[in-house]
Amino acid sequence: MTCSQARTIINNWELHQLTSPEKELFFQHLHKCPACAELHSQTKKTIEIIDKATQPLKVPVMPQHIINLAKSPQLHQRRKHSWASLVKYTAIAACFIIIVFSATIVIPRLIPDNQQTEFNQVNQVLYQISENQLSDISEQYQQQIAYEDELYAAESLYFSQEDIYFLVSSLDNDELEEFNQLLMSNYPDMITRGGM
Amino acid sequence: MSYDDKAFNKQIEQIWPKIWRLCYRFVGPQLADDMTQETFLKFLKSRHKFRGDSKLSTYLYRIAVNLCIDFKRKPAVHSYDEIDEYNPFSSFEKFSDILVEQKINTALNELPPQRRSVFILRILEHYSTRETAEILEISEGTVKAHLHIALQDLRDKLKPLIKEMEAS
Repeated sequence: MTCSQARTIINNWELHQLTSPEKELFFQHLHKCPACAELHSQTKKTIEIIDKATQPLKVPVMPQHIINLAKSPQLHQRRKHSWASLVKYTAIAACFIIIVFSATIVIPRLIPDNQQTEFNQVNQVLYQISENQLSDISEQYQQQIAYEDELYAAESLYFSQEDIYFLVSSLDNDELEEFNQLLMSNYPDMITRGGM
Repeated sequence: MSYDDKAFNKQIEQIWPKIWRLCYRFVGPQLADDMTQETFLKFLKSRHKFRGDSKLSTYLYRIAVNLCIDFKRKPAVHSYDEIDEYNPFSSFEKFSDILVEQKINTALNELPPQRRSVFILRILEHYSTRETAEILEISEGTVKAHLHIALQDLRDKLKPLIKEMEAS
């Protein structure tokens, strides 16, 4: 047996678990190794004095009231969780949920004032939605009209100019002179910018 | 198990002294009775929780050890040293011996709770490593490690005392 093995046995205090040959080997090692023998001796003495110091001389018997308690039928009744109690607690929980649901959702709806208020609120929301949609539609429509107006105006201008060119080309010199004077007197800007 | 189960009651009566001795080693003579009674009351009140996975004695030991550790963890309203130095159960008689006993108890009480539990169960109560591990709900390796350190610690602390006792 090595010192390491002997020290493990001492530190785990496994002497009583050793077989007879193992014990013989262990004590043979202690005879040969003074360090292990000293460790064993110290450990043994330490355990002995602690055992003596914490060992009561006599141990009292079990008190009568504890014996009576151990025999009492009430203590031996095992508390069981029966289905009846489970159903009872489930019913209580369901009632609670129904009460809370009624108080917060159903009952307010049954009061006439609340109904009217709610109806008004719904109408208001619907009105707001329709207003928004109508304004969108109107805006789109207005844009389209404006575009069409511009188109029409452009077409009108084009055709008016054509007419004017036609009329002017059919004028003789005197009439043209008279037309220019008329233009100069009535539309001087147009003449400045180039005129006809 | 019915309330007039004689085997159970007999078993309880047999375990009582062992639990008392364990509590005595843990909390001292003045509180050993209280701790033992509390252990049994706790067990009897919640007996239906005992499923028989472990031995009844192991289960009761576990309750007792936990109660004693909890008691030691609480702020010291009273401790073994302070309540009364008179110990009717002590094996020491002389005043000098009582002082020695106190020194030994102090050295033992200085160990952390779990290490002390391992030492008491494994060395003083002669439980095996496996049983100690089962009672304390720790691994066997932890039991061995705690025991190794506890023995080393106690050897160092009590070495002068042992020399003194041998010299006298």
